[in-house]
Amino acid sequence: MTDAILRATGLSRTFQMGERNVIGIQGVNLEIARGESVAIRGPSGSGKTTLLTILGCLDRPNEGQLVIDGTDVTALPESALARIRSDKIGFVFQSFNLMPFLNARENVELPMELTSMTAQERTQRAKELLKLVGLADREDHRPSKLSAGEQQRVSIARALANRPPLLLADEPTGNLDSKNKVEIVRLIRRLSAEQNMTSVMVTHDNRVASQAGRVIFIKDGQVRSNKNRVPVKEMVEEEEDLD
Amino acid sequence: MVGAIAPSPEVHYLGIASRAARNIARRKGRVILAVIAIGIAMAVMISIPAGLNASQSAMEQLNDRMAVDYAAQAAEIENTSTLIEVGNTGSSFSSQRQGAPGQQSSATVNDTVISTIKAIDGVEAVVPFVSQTEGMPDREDFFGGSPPDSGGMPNGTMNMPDMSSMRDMLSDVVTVLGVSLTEENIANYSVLPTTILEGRNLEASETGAVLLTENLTAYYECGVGDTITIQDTEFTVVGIYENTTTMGNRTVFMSIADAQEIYDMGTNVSYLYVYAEDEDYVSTIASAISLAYEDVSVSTMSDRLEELNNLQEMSEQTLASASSTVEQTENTALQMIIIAVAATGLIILFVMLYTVKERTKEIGVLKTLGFSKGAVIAQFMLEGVMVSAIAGIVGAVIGWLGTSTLASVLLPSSTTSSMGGRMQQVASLSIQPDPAWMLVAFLIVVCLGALGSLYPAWRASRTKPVEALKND
Repeated sequence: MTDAILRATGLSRTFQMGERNVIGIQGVNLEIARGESVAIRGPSGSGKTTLLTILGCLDRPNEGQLVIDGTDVTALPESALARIRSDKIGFVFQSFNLMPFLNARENVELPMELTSMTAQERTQRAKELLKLVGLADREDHRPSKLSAGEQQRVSIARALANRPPLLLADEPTGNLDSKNKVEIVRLIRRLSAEQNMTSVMVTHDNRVASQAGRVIFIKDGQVRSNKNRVPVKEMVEEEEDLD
Repeated sequence: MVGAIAPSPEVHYLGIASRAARNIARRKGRVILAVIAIGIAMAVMISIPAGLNASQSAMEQLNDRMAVDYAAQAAEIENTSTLIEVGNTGSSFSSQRQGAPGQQSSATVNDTVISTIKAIDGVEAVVPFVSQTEGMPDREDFFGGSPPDSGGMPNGTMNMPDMSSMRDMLSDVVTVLGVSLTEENIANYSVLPTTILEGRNLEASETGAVLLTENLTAYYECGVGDTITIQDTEFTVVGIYENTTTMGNRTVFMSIADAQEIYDMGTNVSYLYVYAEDEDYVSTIASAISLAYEDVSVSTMSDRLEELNNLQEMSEQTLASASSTVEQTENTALQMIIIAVAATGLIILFVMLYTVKERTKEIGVLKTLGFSKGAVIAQFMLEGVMVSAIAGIVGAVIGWLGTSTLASVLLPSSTTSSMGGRMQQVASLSIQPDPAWMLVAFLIVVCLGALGSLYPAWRASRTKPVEALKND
């Protein structure tokens, strides 16, 4: 048995839309090893973000079981899920979701308020993380004074703040230009490798997905393919075949 | 291997407080408006009780003062059991011998009456007085331009003078009291003031001399040894006597001979004090005088006590009416305070509800990062409490500086004017906010801030973290 950081068995999630049920995901089985780099790709509405929110304990499945770092989170109460999110998971969002009234360093410090770290330790770690993402000289800037690429770097630094074993990123390059896309993907890969952190990235960009060690393709809420290191060309052909 | 960080059992409240303060600072306009509105509501909470306290205190003071006055007057009347007051008109022989302000100055008692009354069995002495008024405003001035005759009053309504202007006019009125300065009257019948502050008292058979009260020295701008002119006649001020009445005494004492001369009264007098040899004779003497002279008023101790009791009853009715007005005002004030309290709670509620709606995404992000429901509730409640605490300080300042104005605007004017000028004078001096009540009002506002933000904070805490991603 592998050292799995994340194991999902038969995960399903449906949404009530008026009188009809809409399937988000259906019967998803996944096992992601510690330190692995995984991309989840698929067309719009395929269920990849739904899957990510369930893997990130932001939503609950209607069926199935989810185990994160050895803990079955499926039936945990909300307070315990909050603690799992704080301790085990780092989030990176497409639109960064930084607090506009806090500067870069304070944004990075925010998740550390939920730990036993002192204010001094939090500040020190936030500075180290900003240095890691190349923003040592921008720590006092508020998000509105940073470029999109810089904001996403701050967001990544914040995600790493509590040293989570799992990093979940939802379209992290969606709002970035080509140059920043490459840099952010490389940064996530580098930091994941350096800190032995598992990264799961939702993307519809095949070039971004091709950088991952494993690519999971989702369509209509179901896992259609789950392969290691998939070249871009193969991904395009696969999509065409599935269409 | 990833290094685990020990989870904290407690939320970092300092961080929550810091973020709450920053959130307030980033929405200055809204917060300033809320602070002003809540501050005014708190100032109302401070001012209304202050105004009510002032009214109640003024009434109590007036009640006490009237009780003291009545008691003193009753005691004085009871000391004059053998005295019968005889005048030409009216029955208002004042128990205050100095000035007898109710006396109508134009009325006189013929001096032949004196010898007749002296001859009645049981009469010990008859002391005559002349009482005249100086500086009385004429009727036209007094009634505001239109004399109150029946032809000038449509619908039969009385054109009553304004109380304050009436007081101003009466402040120029001086009573000249001519007393019979015989050694017997001075020694046995207390016709002169008893306490001389400066100079000396009038002496037996003295003419061309007067006694003044302290307030009249200012009015005539003179002192002991100076001269004053009354009815074109100069008099030397020989002494200043102590004022002993609540409303202020403005009586000039002189000999009855001088008074009769300057007012051209011949040997006529204004009224008489008839002393019986024994109180058992009083009623017989009074009946005899009334029988002999139908046009004179006769007043014995029992008459004077009855008159005093009537006056007291009227005053008590007026006080009861004022008390009823204050009670009605208390109900109105209570409603205003309830409105102010409700307004404070609602302002906080709506401001915080709007804030929560506006910051749904931020709340979602906080929860995504692992912040618990409790931490979210704490942050939003703290924001509400901070806003209300700032408003409380502003309200305390507004209340402290503007209590008098706010109370007079908010409370019905009848509360402070129902007892006429005296009450108004007393009340207007004492409308001060109570520091203890200010503290209570501040705590009420802060508690309302907490209560008002409780529901919005609870709503915020129920925001699903997935909302943050949906809004992406």
